Amino acid sequence: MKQARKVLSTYSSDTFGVISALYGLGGLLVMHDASGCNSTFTTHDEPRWFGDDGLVFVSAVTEDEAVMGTAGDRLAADMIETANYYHPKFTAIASTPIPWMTGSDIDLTAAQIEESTGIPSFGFDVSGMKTYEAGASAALLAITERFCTGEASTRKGTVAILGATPLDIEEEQLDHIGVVLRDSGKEIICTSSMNGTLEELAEAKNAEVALVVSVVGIDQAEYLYKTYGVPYVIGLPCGPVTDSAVTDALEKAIATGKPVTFFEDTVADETSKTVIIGEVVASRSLALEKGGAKVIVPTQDSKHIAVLLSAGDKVIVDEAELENELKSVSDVYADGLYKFIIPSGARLIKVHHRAYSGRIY
Amino acid sequence: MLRKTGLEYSVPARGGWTIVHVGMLVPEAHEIFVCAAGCLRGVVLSAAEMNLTGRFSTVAIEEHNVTDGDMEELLIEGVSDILERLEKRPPCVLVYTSCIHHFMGTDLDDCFRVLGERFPDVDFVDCYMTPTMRKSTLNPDKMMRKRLYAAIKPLKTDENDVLLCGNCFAVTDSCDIKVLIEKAGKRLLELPNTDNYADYKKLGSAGLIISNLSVAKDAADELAAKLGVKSLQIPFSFGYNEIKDNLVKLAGAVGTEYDTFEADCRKADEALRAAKDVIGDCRIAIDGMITTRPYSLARLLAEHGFNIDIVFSDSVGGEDTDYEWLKKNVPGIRFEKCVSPDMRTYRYEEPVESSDSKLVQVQDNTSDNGSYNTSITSDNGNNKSDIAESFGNKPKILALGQKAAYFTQSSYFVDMVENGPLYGFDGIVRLSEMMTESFLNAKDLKKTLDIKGWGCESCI
Repeated sequence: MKQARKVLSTYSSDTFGVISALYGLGGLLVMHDASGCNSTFTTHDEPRWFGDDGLVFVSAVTEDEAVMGTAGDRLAADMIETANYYHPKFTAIASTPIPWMTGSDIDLTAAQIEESTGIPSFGFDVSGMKTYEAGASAALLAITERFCTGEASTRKGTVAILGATPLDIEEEQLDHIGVVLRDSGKEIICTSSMNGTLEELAEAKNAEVALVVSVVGIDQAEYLYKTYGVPYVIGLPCGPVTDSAVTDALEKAIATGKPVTFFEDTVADETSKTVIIGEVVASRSLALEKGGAKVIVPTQDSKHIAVLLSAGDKVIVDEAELENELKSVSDVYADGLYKFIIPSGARLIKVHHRAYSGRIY
Repeated sequence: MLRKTGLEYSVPARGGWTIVHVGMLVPEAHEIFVCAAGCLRGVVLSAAEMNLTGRFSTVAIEEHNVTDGDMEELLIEGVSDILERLEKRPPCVLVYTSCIHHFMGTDLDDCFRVLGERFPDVDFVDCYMTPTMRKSTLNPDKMMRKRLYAAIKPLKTDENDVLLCGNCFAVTDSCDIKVLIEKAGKRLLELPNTDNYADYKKLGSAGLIISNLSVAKDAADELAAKLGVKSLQIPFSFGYNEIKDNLVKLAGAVGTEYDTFEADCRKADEALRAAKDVIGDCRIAIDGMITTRPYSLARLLAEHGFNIDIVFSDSVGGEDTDYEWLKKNVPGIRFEKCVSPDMRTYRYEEPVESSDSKLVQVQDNTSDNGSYNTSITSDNGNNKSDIAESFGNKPKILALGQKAAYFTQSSYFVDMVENGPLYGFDGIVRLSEMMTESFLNAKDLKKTLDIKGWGCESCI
């Protein structure tokens, strides 16, 4: 049964994807939730929580409020009071199952907050039932549309890194990307949104080219491309082969003015005994780095996933089907929590994916 | 100050037990959570961090299930699929449903009837992850304590068996409760001490059910009614007279006498005095995580000369007499509400010096009606990273509890949750020893607070 998992973990949800994507940009972020989401997100998905002052709260919606339909008004009042206390650069609400199911008008609540405080406010009507890509992608697109506006003035030699959130990208990976870009003579003017700022995000329109390092940055890149003509490259440099490939792809994108996926010409070897399980951009990049491997993407809540896969790759969300698929493999690159279904005789090469195992590994 | 907002903040102190940890107390039981992805995220990783993935499974609710109205089918078929694929059939399965089932009116009775027919060798226990009920009378914590004992069936009553119901931690051997019960020639049974499912089922022989946590009272009453025996509540406290009253009640119920009150008081006094000799006038911060009675603890320590600076709690009992006593008798004591959004940027500030006229005023930031008496301000500009560490060879502040440690950024703290294994006068002696040890030896603050479920195995 597709939705039943005997032993495998679950990917971070769309609600957490919203908050992760916006964390660190100076906003007041609220999950419209009874309780639990805040602890879950800040324990497992947000490595910066212990040491900084990022503003993430839950609305603490109660049964009575959900039944009587009064949660929205109370949430607006609470967020207005809190916004007037903290003076955030923006506010955002991410929904969860009960407000989603009872039809809470998140957009209206956001509009009320903005009207009262004058602070840009966003509502994300996510259900908490999809994986993180859906929420993170929507949040990055919305914040870019709102704050990256006006006339662009392209700056030669500059790059905007898009789609970087801690759910997909480790600090060390971001450091490596920086080294690769700087070694090729590029200046990074924006990292959206991990370690970046809202002011830097506003500069993304002036980038000569964008590098999309995970699937959640593609909608954001499309906006910049269509609005400002910023071409983009999809791919994650993760070793000598892909470091070189991304450098070439960036030049190609600049030269043609068109989007480039640096692994688009590679085709999975269906007979390969090596399998990579994970986020689509990272996994296809790693496949290129390793000289060919079959990619399995275990999530399905982004329309871009299928487009980015080659003929031999698969989307598999069913635990039993995945177990079956791995029966004859020799090497599996995957998060450590997949160890429970790796067949004896196969080797698991751990690739930490926070969106899957959180802070474990 | 943000006092009226209903938004809530989550302190990064992870030692508290969740319903995952509590459910795992049932030996050999398998937990299956039927929830949305966002709700599953925290519980599945809690189990993984406990190295108990093998006892944990999930069924994910997707958006189409809500619109299709097939929640019953999803639950039944999902749980069945998991049980058929497990290598070994567990004797007991805790099936956790969520808020969404209850808002949709899912026919859980029928779900469990079908599951019971399909798997007659399994005890199914309906459990609930329903945070929307958190502020209701029967909140999820109380409900979980009740469900812990749901699979116990009445056995032939053994009047010599006394079950302490609803605690996550077994009490120490020297605990007043255990000593008194053994003095009466009886045996103390505790769920955390059961090694296997057969042992768990034997709890059904209890001739008396006792409980000392308020969240466990409903569980104790329900189990006692099921077994046809008495239930006795002996509330946890740090107050000598309250402890005495409870021990007298317990003694009466088990057929003995509590006749060591004076000696027990002396022992507790001596232990506190020994701790005070070491800790001196070091400021003390207390939270509502280390104990269910933070104001009772603060009062005990204040009465024994300790320098109580601040109490952090999620809420304040309006009728709590210890709280009122502290406000009246401990000049300068401060109260903070942990979940308030302004606590996200809280910086511990040293109390105003005694020459300051404000010292005699009580700062109470826990009130929801904005009626706190005064706001003691400081211009020392402390940051999270440079406050409250040691000066000289002594800590500036001793924190009792993880949240107190986080808010004061003190590496000198007693690490325990929900009273741990303590109770009564012996508990006061043990806590005094822990305070001394924690005063003398720093801990790694972040590493300690990161671990979920105090006392549980962790792979972090």
